[in-house]
Amino acid sequence: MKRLLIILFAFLMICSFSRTASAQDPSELVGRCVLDVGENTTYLKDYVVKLPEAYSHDNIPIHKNTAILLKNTHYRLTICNSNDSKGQGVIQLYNDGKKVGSSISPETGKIYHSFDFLCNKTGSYQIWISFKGGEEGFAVGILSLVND
Amino acid sequence: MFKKAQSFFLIVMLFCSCQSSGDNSAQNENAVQDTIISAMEIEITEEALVEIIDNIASPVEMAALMNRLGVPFSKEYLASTCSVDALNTNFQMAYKLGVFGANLGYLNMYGKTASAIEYISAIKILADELSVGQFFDYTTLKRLATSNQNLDSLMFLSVRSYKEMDSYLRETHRSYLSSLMVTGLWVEGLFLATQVVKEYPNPAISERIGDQKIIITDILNVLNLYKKDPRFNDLIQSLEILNVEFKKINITYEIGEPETIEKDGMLVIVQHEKSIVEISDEQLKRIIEKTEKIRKKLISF
Repeated sequence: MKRLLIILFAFLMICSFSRTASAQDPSELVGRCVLDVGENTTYLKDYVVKLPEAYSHDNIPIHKNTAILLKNTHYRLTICNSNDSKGQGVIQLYNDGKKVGSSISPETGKIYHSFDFLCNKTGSYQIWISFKGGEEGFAVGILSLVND
Repeated sequence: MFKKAQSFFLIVMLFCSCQSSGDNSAQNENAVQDTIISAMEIEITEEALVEIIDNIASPVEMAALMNRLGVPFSKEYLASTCSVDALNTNFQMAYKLGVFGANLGYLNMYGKTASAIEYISAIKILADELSVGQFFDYTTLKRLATSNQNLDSLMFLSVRSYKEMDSYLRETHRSYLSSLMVTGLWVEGLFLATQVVKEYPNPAISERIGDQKIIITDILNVLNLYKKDPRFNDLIQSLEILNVEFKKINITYEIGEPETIEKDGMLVIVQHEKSIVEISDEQLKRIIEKTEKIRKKLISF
């Protein structure tokens, strides 16, 4: 609880000095999500994503970012939805145009809050964030290191 | 005794802060340089620049690897903060901001919070000089470091502060400073790794050094945007010397399909595609030597 308060306080301080008024909500969402990532993890990056509703199921809006991931490293990709998000966020990982990981289980179709990725190939990866069924949504994706 | 030491430290820090904030002519010169260099930013879109900078891995991962392998901590690898008030151009300050960021990541990863305070203070001075101090929450970071608890929060706020500073530099058309900060982070991270591998040879660290072949190319792509500036040109020449060695490293790939496992309520994906870095002892030795020389030159300005 103390840790949570410290992080939230720090964020409010940063936000109060920030240039844009709209930066506060995403920062709070990031702070909340970081706490949900789990024990023995180190935050690396965050991706705040706000997407409109898809016009059609064939054209679902996707937020794409790149990150270098390193061999022999255990990563965790987490997605947290804003309280007012209509859609449920999905985070996926691509390398060289091929999907290598997703927060949706390929076996059951269940959407997970996060997935771990045991990286064996150093290179540039694409982190895709979208919302199930192309719904409008607001979420944050967190890339973190799992300290084994 | 501790309180006296703390008071002494605060007085020294105040003195340093006062010394570093009074040079108007240097500030004017910096403002002119900002305008000239930002005018060069015409060959690449903001989106492309963000993508390149995002592609530069954080030194935190390198420090985490060292920690995981049981490599002992050494303060000898760190850059000195003593000359922070002697820096008088934005170019120097942005580069050093990156250097100290890498040092802070290394200290945090090893839980050396007492030493981290020194770097947090130096970073604050530089961040204020570059007008990005509002994104570096000195008070909270110092409190977290002093309490020697909440290491996760300390790491999170440190990393995120750098991200915020970097974004703001780009938003305010000072991407050249952002590129310098990222270069400082990378060179210092490489220096830490090369010093460690020299003392504690380990194939995993050697391979991680070899992996930097991918990243140096991205860094040079960004720096080349500003090559008309003689200081950038000099920096590029230094890194090109290092790149000659990285180009000799061979990276091969083994094909494999990822495997998904659902374990203890978690989704775990194991990648079976592999990258294999072929780096000889001689190649590694030359990279270590050249990194030492370049780092010495770059942190001495």
